[in-house]
This record gives sequence, C-alpha cells and structure tokens, in this order.
Amino acid sequence: MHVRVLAAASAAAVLAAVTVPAFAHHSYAEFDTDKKMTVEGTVKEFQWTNPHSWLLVNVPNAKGEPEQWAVELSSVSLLASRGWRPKTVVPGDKVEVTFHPMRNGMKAGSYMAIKLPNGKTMGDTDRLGTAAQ
Amino acid sequence: MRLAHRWLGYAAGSALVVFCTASSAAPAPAAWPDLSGIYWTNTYSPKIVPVGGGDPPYKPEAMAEYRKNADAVKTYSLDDKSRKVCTPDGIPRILQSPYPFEIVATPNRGEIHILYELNHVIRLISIDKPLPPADELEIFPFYSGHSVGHFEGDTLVIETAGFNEKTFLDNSGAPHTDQLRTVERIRKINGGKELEDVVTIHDPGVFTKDWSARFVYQPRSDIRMMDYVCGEKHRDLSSVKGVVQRR
Repeated sequence: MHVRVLAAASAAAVLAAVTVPAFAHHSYAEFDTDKKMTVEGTVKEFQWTNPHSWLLVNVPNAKGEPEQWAVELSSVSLLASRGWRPKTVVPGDKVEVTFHPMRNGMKAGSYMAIKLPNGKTMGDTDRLGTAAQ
Repeated sequence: MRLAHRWLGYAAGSALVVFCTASSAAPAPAAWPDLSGIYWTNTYSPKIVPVGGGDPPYKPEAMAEYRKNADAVKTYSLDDKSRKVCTPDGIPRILQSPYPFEIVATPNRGEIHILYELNHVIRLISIDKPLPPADELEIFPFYSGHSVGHFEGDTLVIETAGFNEKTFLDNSGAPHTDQLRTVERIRKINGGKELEDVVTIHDPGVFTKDWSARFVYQPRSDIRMMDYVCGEKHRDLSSVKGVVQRR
C-alpha cells in the first residue's frame, strides 16, 4: 500500500513538472501588480489546465530572434466563466498579451488581458495593484 | 475556488440522491449482463486496423500528419506523453493495450469502471445517464473522455465524448481532434470464452467518414492486475502475439 501511494505521488510530480513551464504552485507576490507589460507575439502553446492555465508566446527580441514568454492565467473554471474555451487561442495565433510581470525579471507574468487575432479583446488592462484573475 | 464549489455541489447532489434512494422503497435495479472480470488479449498490433482492413479513412492532411507521426515512432521521437510521462492512452488506443484490464460493475450505483493495468487508467461509465452538455464536454476535456453506457440485450454500449487532444488513436501515431466521439459495443462471444469490443470512431476533424475496429480479449481469472505505470518493471508479455520487446 505504501509503495502504491509513493508511485502515485511520483507520477503526479512528473505531471506537474511537465505541465507548468516556468515554476510550480507559487505565491502571487512574485508578480509585480503595480506594473503591467504588453508583448506582441505568436502563440506557441496554450495549456488549458488546472490549477492554472498557461499561455506560451514567442516574442521577437531586439535582434528579431523569438523569445518565449510564459503568461499564467487562472483555473479552467474561472477562465470558462469569463468566456474562455480550450481553443480561444491556438498555436500560430498573433496575439497581444498584457500581464503583471515577474519581479525577478523572468520572462513570465500574470495575465491581465489579451487581444485576439480577430481584434476581440478579453480581460482588463486597468487593474494595476490587484491580483488579475 | 469556484471549481471547489462546483464539486461540493455535485457531492451534495449525490448525497441527496443516495438519501432519497435509500429512503424510498425503490425496486432493486434490473440485473445487468455480467461482464465483470479480468481480461487480457493474446494478440497485439501497434496500428489499429479498421474492420475489413486497410487504413482508416483519413483526410489528406491528416494522412500526411499520420505518416509524419509514424516515422517519428520508428525513431522514438514522437511527442507521446502517454509513453514519456505515463498519461492515459485515451480511446481507442487503450483498447489495443497488450496489458490486462478489469471490468468492475456496481449496479447499485449505476456505474461500471474499467481499470487498465497500463498507467493506472480508470474509465467511469455511468449507466443509463446522458452525456454531459456540449459546453461541459468542451470546457472539461479528459484523456479518456466522458463515458455513458447502456445495455442492449447482452451488449454494453458505451458512448464517449469530450476528449482532450493530448493523445493518439493508436501506438503508431494516429492523430485525432477534440471532435472525436466513440461508440463501443462490448459483449461476450464464443459462449463466454472471449470478450469483444467493436469501437466506432467519429472524428470529422481527421476522417472522411466513421469507421470501426474490433478487439477481442480472453477472460483471465487466473491472473491478477498489477500496479504498473510506464517506465517501471512490467509483466511478461511474451504470451501476447505481436509484442516486440524493446531491448
């Protein structure tokens, strides 16, 4: 029985490691909620998953080389209640994403809003000082 | 947090149903055909072949994707989470598994579970219940989809929808989309000496028409299920024709 529990826990750890690109479950203090940042890029991957969904976007740097930014969104249920669906964004989509950036300079942030290829905007770019959901 | 509320809601609803069932003099549910037991195939093929042979009826772009995937399988370079991080195979891939599975029926709860030895896959089939609404299937896609079933005579008919797109249809890299729906017809054949599962596959995202595949398993009351996920030591598969052990 003991071994069985350990095996299940290991499998869960492996899953967590592969589905969360930048870091695991964490404190919201890592994001600077007094700042917002907007990047334009191409969707590499949209991970529709709990506890948090992730959007990976390739953004050209000053040399024109693609750099990956990881934007964390909320849970599937919360996103769904705000109109999101698993294919609201798909790889290859050109998007403009606004987020609270990480305090430590990592290329990651907490989602505030997104402009989709069809011009539709979702979310809110004006919630500085709050935890974006 | 809202998700937690949702599950609490389900739990409260279930408790209510149980209470009402227990307090009323409801007749015992009709006996289900007994499909319970451990089953194990004796033949295996990495490619799922349609009934009648040939290839599944791929659209041209899906056939191109399949060929690309099949080449990647040969060099172990396919991005196959089911074999690299042991996520569930999905349907119909799990049906071709060379490992055993067990059917567990709990008529008093209206459920059948199918437990697969490979990767601890558990399928829950709610009997005589409708599939969740389309919106829920889209928002909460599962590896093994959402399944409901009913009996037609001695045949268990399982309808499954609401799949994610993280799986392949077979071990040769057959692609699918979230439009996938499957209908399985499971019954005992040859006087109970074998179990048959004929699965019909509907996915207008990759196929020009629906197609079916057939799997046959043998009842194996002489073995027990093992606790196995990919990458660990597993049972001896040398009795399953078609399995090539990777060395």
